[in-house]
This record gives sequence, C-alpha cells and structure tokens, in this order.
Amino acid sequence: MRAAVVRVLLLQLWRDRGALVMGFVLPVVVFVVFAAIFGGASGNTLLLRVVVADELQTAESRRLVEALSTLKTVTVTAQVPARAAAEQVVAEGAADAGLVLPAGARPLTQLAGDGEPPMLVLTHPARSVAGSLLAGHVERLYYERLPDVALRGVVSLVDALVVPLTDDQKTEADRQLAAMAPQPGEPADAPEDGTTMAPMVAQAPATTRGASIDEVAYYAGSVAILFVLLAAVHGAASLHDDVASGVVDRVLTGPATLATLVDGRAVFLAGQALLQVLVIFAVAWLGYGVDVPARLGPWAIVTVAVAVASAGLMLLVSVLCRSAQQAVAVSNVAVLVVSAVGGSMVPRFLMPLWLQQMGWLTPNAWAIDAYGEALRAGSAWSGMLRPSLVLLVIGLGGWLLARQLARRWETR
Amino acid sequence: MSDAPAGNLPWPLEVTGVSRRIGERQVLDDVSLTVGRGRMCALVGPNGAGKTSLLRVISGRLRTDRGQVQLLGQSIGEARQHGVLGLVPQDLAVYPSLTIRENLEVLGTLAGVARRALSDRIRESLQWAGLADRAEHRLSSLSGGMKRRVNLIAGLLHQPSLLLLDEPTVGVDAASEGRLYVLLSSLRASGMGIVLATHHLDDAAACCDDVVVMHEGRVVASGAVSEVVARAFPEGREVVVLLADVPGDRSVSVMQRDAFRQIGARTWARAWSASLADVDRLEADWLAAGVVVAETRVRQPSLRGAVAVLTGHAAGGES
Repeated sequence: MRAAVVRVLLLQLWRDRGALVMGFVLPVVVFVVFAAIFGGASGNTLLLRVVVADELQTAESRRLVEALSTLKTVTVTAQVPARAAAEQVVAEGAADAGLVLPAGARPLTQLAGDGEPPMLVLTHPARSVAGSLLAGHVERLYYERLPDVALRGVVSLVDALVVPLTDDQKTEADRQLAAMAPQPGEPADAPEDGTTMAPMVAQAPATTRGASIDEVAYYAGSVAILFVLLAAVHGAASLHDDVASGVVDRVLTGPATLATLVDGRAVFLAGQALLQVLVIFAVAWLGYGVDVPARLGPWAIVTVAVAVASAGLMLLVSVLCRSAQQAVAVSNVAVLVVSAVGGSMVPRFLMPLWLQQMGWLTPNAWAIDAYGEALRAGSAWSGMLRPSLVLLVIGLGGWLLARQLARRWETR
Repeated sequence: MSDAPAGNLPWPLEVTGVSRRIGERQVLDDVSLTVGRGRMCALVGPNGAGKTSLLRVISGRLRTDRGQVQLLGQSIGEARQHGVLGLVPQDLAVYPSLTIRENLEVLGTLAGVARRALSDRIRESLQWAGLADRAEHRLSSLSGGMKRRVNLIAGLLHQPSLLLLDEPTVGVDAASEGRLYVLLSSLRASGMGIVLATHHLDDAAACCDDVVVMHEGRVVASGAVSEVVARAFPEGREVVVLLADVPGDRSVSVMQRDAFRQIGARTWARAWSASLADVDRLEADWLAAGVVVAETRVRQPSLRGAVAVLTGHAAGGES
C-alpha cells in the first residue's frame, strides 16, 4: 500500500515540469553559480576594480600607480585628478575601492612623524572587504616594488630614532638608493637583482587538495541540503490535498490508515532527496574534481542521513499545519531561515558566534559538517558519524511524530 | 425501515441510537436506521440536518457519544479490514494528473484489493461504467460526468457490501446524472446496500427504495418513499399558493392562520383533503384581507413537499 502512495507521488512529480526543474535543475544551477563564485574565485584570484587619484604626481607616486596596474587581480578602471572624483566613482559602484595619494600628506619616504598617511584607501560600505584587499596589495607593493622609497624612510627613521648618521653616511645612502630606483623609461616591475624586500608572509593550503575543491565540496553540501528541504515541501504538503479532496475519506474505509499515507510520503521524499543529492555531487565530481568516488562510503552514509532528515522534518512541519497552503508557506519560510542560519547561504564562520551556535539547531549545519567530514581526504569515519547520527535522529523523530500527529485526522 | 434480513444474515448497515454533540451543537440525536441488501436509501433534509455527519459516523470518521454502527454485523474497525464499506465522497477523491487506470490501480491497492485480482476488476469496472476507451486518459481531460463515474467506480473496486455516496451528482448535467443513477440501480440489483445523501429529491424519489428524512440531527421520518410522503400528507393532496407579492406581516399572519407554511419567498403550501371549491372560498377570504394570489395549484404530494412539511424547510431547490 505504501508503494501505491509512492507511485502516485512519482507520477505527479514526473508530470509536473515545474517541480522537476525546481527539484533537479535549479539546485545544479545554484550549485554551479556558488562553485564559480567561491571555488573558482577563491583567495587571491578575487578581482578588484580600483579607481586611482594621484594628487602628488611625483616619480614615486607614479611608480606606485604603475605597479598597481600590473597586478593581475587588480584592474585600474579610472585615474582621476583628485580625491573627490575618486570618492564619487566608488560611491557610484563603478569601482570596488579607490586609492588616493593625497597632496599635503606625509611624503611616501617618511615612515614616521605627524601628518596624514601618504596612501588612502576609499571603501564602499557594501564592499568593505575590497578596501581591505586593496590596502594589503598597496602595502605589499610599497615594500616590494618601491624598495628604494621604503629604505629612504628606514634611513631617516634610523637617523632620527636609532643612531644619528653623519653627512657622509647620508650622502652615500642617497647615492645607493638613487641607484636602486628604476631609471626613466624602465618598467615598474620588481628589481631582478635582489635589491627588493623579501615577503615576510607566505600562504600554504591546509589540506592536500586545492582550496577551491574544498569550497566546491562545501557548497555542494550546503546547496544539496537547502534544495532537498525545499523540494520536500510540496510532497509533504500533498497530504493535506488528499484530506481536502476526500481521498483520505475514501482510503480510511479500507485497511489503509493515515500512517500508510505518511509512510509512503516519507519513502518518496527520501528517495527524491537521494536523487537530488546524487545529481548535485555528480556535477561536483565531474565538473569540479570533488573526489566523491574515493570517499563513496562516508558520502553515501551522510546522503542517506540527509534524505531521512529532510523527509521526516518536512512531514512533521506539514502535519502540524492546517492546510496545504499553510504547510507550503510555513515550510518555505522555515527552510529559508534554517538554511540561512545553518550555513547554506553564507559560511557559518562569517557569522557572529551566537548565530554560529544557533546553527547547530538546524539540519543544514549538521549536513554541511557531515559532508565536510565525509569528503575530507584522510579523515576518519568517526568524524561524519556523529553529524549523520544527529540527522538520522532528526529524520526518524520527525517521521514518527508526523505519523502520530496525522492520526488525529482519522477520527474526530 | 428495510425488511428483516433473510435467515441469519446481518444487515449491511445497522445504526442504533447514534448521538454526537460537537461543541454546543447536537449534530446527531438518537439516530437509528437500517439498510438491507439490494436496497437504496436516500438521506435527505436541509443543509445542516446531519446527513454528512451520519455518513462520517458510518465510515468511522466521526466518533459517537452514544449508540453503535454495525456493518454486516461487524464493528467499523472490523468492517474496514474486510472491505465491507465503499465510499464515494462529494468531492472528486481522485488524482487529476493520473490516468483513469492509474487512479484505479492506486486506489484499488489502497482499498486492499490483491494485485492479481485488481487488473480484472479494473477492466470490468471500466466496461461497466462505459469508460473502457478512456482508461489511459488523465482525469483532468475528462468531462464532469466521466469524472463522477471514475469517482464512483473507485469506491467499488473492493466489491463492498455497502456503498455510501455523498451528493454523487453535484455539478453534472442531467444526462450524466441519469447515467449515474442507472449504474447505482444496477449495483442495487446486484445486492449491494446503498446509502445516498442528496438534495435531489426528485431523483431520490424515483430511484431509491427508502428515504430517511433528517432535521437538526434527528430522523423525522423514514421508510419507503411512499410511506414518508403519506405520513406528511395524510389527506392525500397538497395545495400550493403563489402570492402576487412578497408577503408583509399581515399576509403572513393570514396564511399561517389557515395552516399554510411558507416554502419559498412567495410560495406557501399545505396538505389538503377538502374540495376544490373550498380553495376558491379561501382565495376570496384572502382577497378581502388584502392578500393577492397569483396562482393556486392542487397537486399530488411529492417527496419534495413531504420533506418541506416534515422539516419546515423548502428543500431541493423549491421556490
């Protein structure tokens, strides 16, 4: 009898193109977009559009601007004469951030002392991270591409704060530093003779795989749980349609019960979820190199847990509602909220601590955690067992409660 | 109501002293009825009389405060397990996006029909209902009458002994309605007990063996259709008066003085055993009292009129 319920839902899904697209095409599209944003463009490949206002127009300031233009991750979209014009460009969104070399500020060669800093980064409130990235780039360029300018500052600093230099020493330092500076017509690339400052900070991946693949795996998991929950909304709410149409009245004259209808839906929703997750991770594997086959066992366990959790939870929400319309509306809102809090839309580490803690009340956080553990090369199985167990308890608990609550419709 | 069951065979339906209160309202009050094999019984009465509530009690969807229901001598729970009861809800309790065959396969399975027998039952049912050539059509593409027939046969696949129908002809044209009653008559002929809640009193009078008139949760009359009509009209005839205008207070008091009951905005009726000349005398009295009559008819009483008399309500679209 449960198979008959599964068959009805399968046929209804198969003949509803909108639901098919929502359930199996849209998740892949969203995942691909997320993967492109966060996987392909992670870390130092994030492109910045920058406007520059060089009010100094000195040889040093021009070298700095030229050095900035050579960076692959930065596009100088405009050079304007003054700060006000640069502020307008940033405010209008034509550039992500702006660099101003203001007149009247400390010279580039002065590392200490009063006065405004010699470099000013303009930011937009909606893109403040772009300002931080540009500040980092500029600071690095200052030491790497303009070492003679930086050293002039160091010399004056030593003279003022460490040990006074004699006139001869100052003259010799001037001569050496002038020789370090590129001659007119030379490119602003870093000097190849070693007369530059070596980077003090290096970056290295924490995993054996590429960081972008981890990002892709993360978003495959987060998108999967989001759309698995969303797709379960209509199947779960269809129980109300059966009540309203009289199908339940008809069915209850025979040996079947409402538990039969709930069970059939649970099986269908879990199966639908398995298929959705399979499609998303197949794209992650084939398109982005997430090595699912190498971790097939843990991945399969997590996927079953996710499918059971989504089916049980959505059935419970639906049975708690009074009509199909109410169930769909409440479920959609609930899915969006738990997905936002649980990390399906924005990684949880970017959230305030209290919100990160709240995330553990959502299936999304457990699912993302479980997939992270399941797909991390070399991780122990025990890592994904705990979140998988939590998901299974959520799902089975929701299903049993839904079964029990639905019985109230049998006899009034 | 029905004749005593033959031998020791139990009634398909036996309702005894059923009562149910929901909130402040007594939706069923000491209701009793029986339906025999091969009998079609109409449940009639105005809206809110308790017809649907009674059907819900019989199908086990509504608990009783008192009384009991037996189906073929079994409790409702036992009867469900044995497929004694079939139900045809008022709404189309089928899946619009599925074909007729798919619907019948699914609903037959849920009704407990074994897979081996199901395909034969579906084939026979489709032929019986004249839908064999539409088996692969989706419900959403069918006419209202065809959908009603699918709704009917979906309740019959498990071959119940008692069939409950709640307004089975709502929203269908006269031809489809007639065809549905032909099908019900053939079911009755096969020995099935049928209970039909309906507002279509003329059809009920024409097709049903028995009628149960309900009002405010109580059975106010039951028996063969002719018996119920005779109980409402012991004098054998009925006078129906159509007034020229909607009556004011004075006209109402005049009509009520003469034992007429209002069955429509301008329509009044009463049982009548006197001569036609007495009707003329009444009209003259009314005219003197300022009550103008547009038309007067003396007719053989109908079930429609009987229900109006017994419940005090115009029924079945009387106007």
